[in-house]
Amino acid sequence: MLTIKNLQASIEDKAILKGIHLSIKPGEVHAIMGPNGSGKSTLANVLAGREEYQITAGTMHYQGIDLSTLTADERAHLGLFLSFQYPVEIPGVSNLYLLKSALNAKRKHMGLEEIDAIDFLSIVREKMKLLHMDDSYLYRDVNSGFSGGEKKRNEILQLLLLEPSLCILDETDSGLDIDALRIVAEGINLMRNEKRSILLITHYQRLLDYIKPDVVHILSEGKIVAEGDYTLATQLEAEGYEPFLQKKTGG
Amino acid sequence: MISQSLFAACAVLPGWDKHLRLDAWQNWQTMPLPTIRDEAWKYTNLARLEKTIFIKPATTPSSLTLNDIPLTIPEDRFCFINGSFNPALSAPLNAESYLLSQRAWPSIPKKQQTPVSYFERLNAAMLSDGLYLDIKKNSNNPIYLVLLQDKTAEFSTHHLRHRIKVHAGIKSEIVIVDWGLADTTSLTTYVIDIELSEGAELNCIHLKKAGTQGYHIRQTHAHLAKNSHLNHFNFDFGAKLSRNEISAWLQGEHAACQLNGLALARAQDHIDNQTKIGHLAPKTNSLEQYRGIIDDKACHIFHGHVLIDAHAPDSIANQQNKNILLTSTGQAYAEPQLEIYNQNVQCIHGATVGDIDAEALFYLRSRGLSDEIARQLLIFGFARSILETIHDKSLQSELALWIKTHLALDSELILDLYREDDHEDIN
Ligand SMILES: Nc1ncnc2c1ncn2[C@@H]1O[C@H](COP(=O)(O)OP(=O)(O)O)[C@@H](O)[C@H]1O
Ligand SMILES: [Mg+2]
Repeated sequence: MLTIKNLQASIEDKAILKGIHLSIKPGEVHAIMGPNGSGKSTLANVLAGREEYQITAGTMHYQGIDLSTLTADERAHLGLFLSFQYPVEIPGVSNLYLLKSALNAKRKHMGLEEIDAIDFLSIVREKMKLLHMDDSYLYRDVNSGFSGGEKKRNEILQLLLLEPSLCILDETDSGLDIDALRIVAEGINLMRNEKRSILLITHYQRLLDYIKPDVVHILSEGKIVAEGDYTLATQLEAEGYEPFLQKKTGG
Repeated sequence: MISQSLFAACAVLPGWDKHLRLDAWQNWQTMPLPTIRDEAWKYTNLARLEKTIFIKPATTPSSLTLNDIPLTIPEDRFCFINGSFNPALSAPLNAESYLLSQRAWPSIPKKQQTPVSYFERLNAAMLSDGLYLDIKKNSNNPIYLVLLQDKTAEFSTHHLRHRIKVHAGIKSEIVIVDWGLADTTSLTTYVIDIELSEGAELNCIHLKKAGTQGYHIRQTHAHLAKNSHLNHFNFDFGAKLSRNEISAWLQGEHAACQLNGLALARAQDHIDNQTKIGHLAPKTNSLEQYRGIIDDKACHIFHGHVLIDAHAPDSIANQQNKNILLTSTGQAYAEPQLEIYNQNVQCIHGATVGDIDAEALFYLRSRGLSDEIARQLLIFGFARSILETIHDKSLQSELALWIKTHLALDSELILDLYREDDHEDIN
């Protein structure tokens, strides 16, 4: 599904990713954990196609395609989805319009006709029900004046609707209270299947209690410094990042 | 700019004070043209205007019809063509109204008689016509005041003055449309006095498209009594030189005003918005939202002066100005000016000038929208946030179409945007 080799990226000549290796197979859930500023969001943004970052070395392939040759919208059409750490407010554009345009853009790429307005509404309402969102979300401007938790829910709504093959979730858990976390995690779990891959970026272990990852990576200063199964996250929760960071400097 | 003989050729309106007119002319002649050394004109150079020779006064009405403007003008309207009142296109009004050219206005309060500024003096001297609206009854429908210019207005000057009085406790809406149908070189001055009595409410929507060669200078003065409320909307679609000055004086307790504006400047357009809000009484409230979208080599100026008097405790003022520059050759100047003489007030202001928001662009593209569509959505969304502050839905969608055409946005996109939101009404 996703193969990243020696990925290095910088912004304004400041190196941020310093050689990332990562491979995710279809059906797998991977978690990336790491302290603030370690480069987690940068990795997510580079994968999604944010042009401000320069890729200085390495490769990233998604379903065998070199991602660096594709624009952000082309990556989205091929089934890559990034749930933003800070979803952007877009005043003047309704949520409904964005949801429908996003879905139609993908359908167009797949050679399908635009979705019928009534069908669309019934599909989107069904997904909203899963996330305990009421109808008013549709008619509000995209993320405008949404609380932190509402924004995150809105990201997951888009995820459920677009049914991507590779879901990158950047700190979807932050800003959610415990009930919202459970609802959002259930939404994500619904998406789990043998074909779809999920990359969970998180700061804390608590999301991983709901969505159990197959592999956990620890990122520090732009490099993966430790890898393991789910127990790595538990260990991290108990001992903090310190031992892992020291291990890195030690060798 | 304007010769003695053009002044002499100007019809003397029966309703206008002859002495005032002559005084204004003499005072105008002795007054120097404002230059960029004057603080209030530092970004707007009038040298080109000064060199332009205007040769015609307001002309006789042409054969225009209302179908010539791409906007639905409902009943309850007053139409002026090339500066002159046109009875054929006008339709009865609910409100009591008096035309300067037909009969005397009720007398103007003394302190408003003497024109002070350069263009007000010119306006008083050369007055083409004007309307006094005396609004004593509530009305559900807006009153339209329309000024059209066609190609016969080449090198002419038009000067209008309206006075709008809304009586105590009355609610009203006025839409003022200035539309240049051709890109004629012409000069229009406009003076509008608004008086809101206690508890009165007025929505005043001003739409202007003056043509690429038009000079259009407007001064609006509003006086608000206790508990009265003014919502003023200024949509400017550009001109060679468009200057909109508005002053709102909150004179009575709890008086409130909202001044919103949208400037869409492209090609070589120059739009200069100068606002002044005076909080003169306790618990007065003002909200100001001005936005500019600047393309090509165009320019938008926003100067927002907020004065809070010592006698205006517990007042709230909020001023926001945002500009998007679509090119590196466009210019935007955002200047807040706060003058506060009372400590017990809340005053918020913010001004930005920038490109299309890169974060928002990436967000939309990451959802599969093309660069082109994403940009258009962001531009339109930026304009729409102001558009939606007017509550009249049908006017809103007409204006959306103007904006779409003006910014060369994709029709389908904008229609879709509205179609989607219409579902809300169905559900
Ligand atoms: N757009 C940017 N401009 C400048 N520096 C950036 C930018 N984005 C990220 N950085 C820097 O890169 C480093 C990693 O940031 P980020 O990827 O957001 O970390 P994380 O998500 O792990 O907290 C930080 O030092 C941050 O300041
Ligand atoms: Mg981050």
